Amino acid sequence: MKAISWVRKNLFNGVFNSALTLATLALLYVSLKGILYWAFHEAKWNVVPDNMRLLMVGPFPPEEVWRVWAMLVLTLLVSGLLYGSVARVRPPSWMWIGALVFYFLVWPVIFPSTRFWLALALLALPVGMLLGPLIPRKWLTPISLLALAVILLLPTAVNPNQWGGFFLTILITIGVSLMAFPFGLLLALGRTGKLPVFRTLSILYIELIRGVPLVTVLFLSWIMVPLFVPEQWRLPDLISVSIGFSMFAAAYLAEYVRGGIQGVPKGQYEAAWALGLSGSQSARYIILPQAIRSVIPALIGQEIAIFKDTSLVYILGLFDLLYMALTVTKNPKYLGTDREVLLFVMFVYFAGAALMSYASRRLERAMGLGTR
Amino acid sequence: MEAIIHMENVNKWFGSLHVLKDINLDVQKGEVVVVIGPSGSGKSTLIRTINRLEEIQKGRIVVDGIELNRDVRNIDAVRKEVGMVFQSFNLFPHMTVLENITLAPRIVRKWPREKAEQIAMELLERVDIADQAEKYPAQLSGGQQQRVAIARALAMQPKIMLFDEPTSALDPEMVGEVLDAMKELARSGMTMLVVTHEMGFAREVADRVIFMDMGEIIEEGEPDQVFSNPRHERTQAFLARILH
Ligand SMILES: Nc1ncnc2c1ncn2[C@@H]1O[C@H](COP(=O)(O)OP(=O)(O)O)[C@@H](O)[C@H]1O
Ligand SMILES: [Mg+2]
Repeated sequence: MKAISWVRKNLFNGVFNSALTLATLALLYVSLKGILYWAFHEAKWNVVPDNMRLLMVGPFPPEEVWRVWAMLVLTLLVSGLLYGSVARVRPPSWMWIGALVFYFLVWPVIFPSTRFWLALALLALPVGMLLGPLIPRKWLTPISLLALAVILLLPTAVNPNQWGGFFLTILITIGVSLMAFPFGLLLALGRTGKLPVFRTLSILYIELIRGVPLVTVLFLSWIMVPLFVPEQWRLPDLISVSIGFSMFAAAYLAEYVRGGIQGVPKGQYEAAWALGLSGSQSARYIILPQAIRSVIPALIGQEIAIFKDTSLVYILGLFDLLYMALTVTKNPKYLGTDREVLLFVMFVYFAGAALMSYASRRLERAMGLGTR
Repeated sequence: MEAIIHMENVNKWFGSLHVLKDINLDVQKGEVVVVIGPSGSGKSTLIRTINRLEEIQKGRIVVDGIELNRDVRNIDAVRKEVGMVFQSFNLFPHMTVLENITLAPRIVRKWPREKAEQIAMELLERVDIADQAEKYPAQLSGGQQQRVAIARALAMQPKIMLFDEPTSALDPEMVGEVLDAMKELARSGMTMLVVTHEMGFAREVADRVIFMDMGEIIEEGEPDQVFSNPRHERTQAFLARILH
């Protein structure tokens, strides 16, 4: 028996180690017993499904929640479509089975109106993958652009001040990433470039931002950004905070990209110049593609950090996942459920981060990193 | 006849290190010139001044009638006419062989994709690796990579080709295939400036051999004369060292 000999060799080799193993087991038992007892007997888990809408979309008007569902379904469908078309793989069976199992597990605790949309959302990805290879490639871009336009239009019928929950968390993550990336790229180019003015400015900016806490930047942008726009515009807090967040994230992104740029061998520049490429053409076609490829793991790590750090915006009164969770626990009806709700919030963040890091590993492998 | 490369009293310093000392060199159209000399003598620096990978501090360089000075337009114009092959290949690792070759023609010469690809395939045919067009550089042997690099430089249809020790980084069994491609190019009438210690190559196709030492051109002449009958004692000492 392999298992027994492994246990013998690793856990009970000698008196001291045996004692240590037993003590650890006893300790685990005592502490886990309490937690498990709480989790299965005392915890009022129903607080989570009961308040699922609040946690997921916050104060978004219930009759408009279909918009969020539609955004989700469209996103998954188009992602599946693109992936299926590029990778030419059929959806793996675990995707169908997982969707089915998940659906029936949550069936009892969700509202009937949700069941329809959840089914659509679970099917969207594999169905998209199935359809992908059937669609002519030249349609992919127009279809994606159309879907993107619809996705962007869908939530605009609702005042941004009513966006909330996990939906808002994701919106901020995506928005901040999209704004921070080009800015970070510019900073990295400035810092590694030849123009002294840009280099100095980039260095100053990057070092300044990296020297201060994110919360202070968020607070400051919350106060300051509205001062830069005409009074009658009344910028939603969401926008001003996201701008500050992006400016913060850009400094870190810039440093990762700079690392990548500096890792590109000098011979690559020389080959590009010898072929007659200009400085900006070399940067665009030769240097940046290699630099970014080599730092993709770091960039996704930064992405995950942005995702988790969005929880800070609750301080500024944005109704993100954490804010909604804390609101739920203050509801007299659910008094004393802080542990349940916070554990759920942690689980959601963990699941999101795990998904991103899984995607990162897939991406790395697909691009043959480290084997070039 | 006007020389296609004209170097006049060229001087270059790296900081206080004087690496090129009063270089005077004229290369005629269609001429194949081989540069030899000990390591650190300034051979690479010399040929890299011709496409302005190195700036010079004194003297003048005229390439095909274009004066190499601070004017970026002149530098660009010269680089379009001068191809270069490096010791370490310097292929673009994130692009396929075909993309490596078509990149510059497409974005610098603004050729349409079809034209660039057609010419790229002809060149790959010429260096005998047309079957590798869709591969990435890392999937090729050193000899194949260097032949791709030659094709990449030729795709810009240069008038002059510079080679900086193109076979030094290769396993011995791959040197021949690269030299063959270079010999074929020399016979086709290309103007070539080649830093190499491949004596066989020099004897077979070079019109002239230049011996450099400590930043100076010590001696030049026909290959047979320089190799068999070197006039200068530094040349003799150097040849004695590399031939034994
Ligand atoms: N970028 C550089 N900075 C400082 N010194 C350099 C640089 N490149 C070359 N050198 C020096 O210039 C001299 C000539 O170098 P090089 O032209 O590469 O010689 P070769 O190609 O004949 O071996 C050497 O002493 C070398 O150390
Ligand atoms: Mg050299």
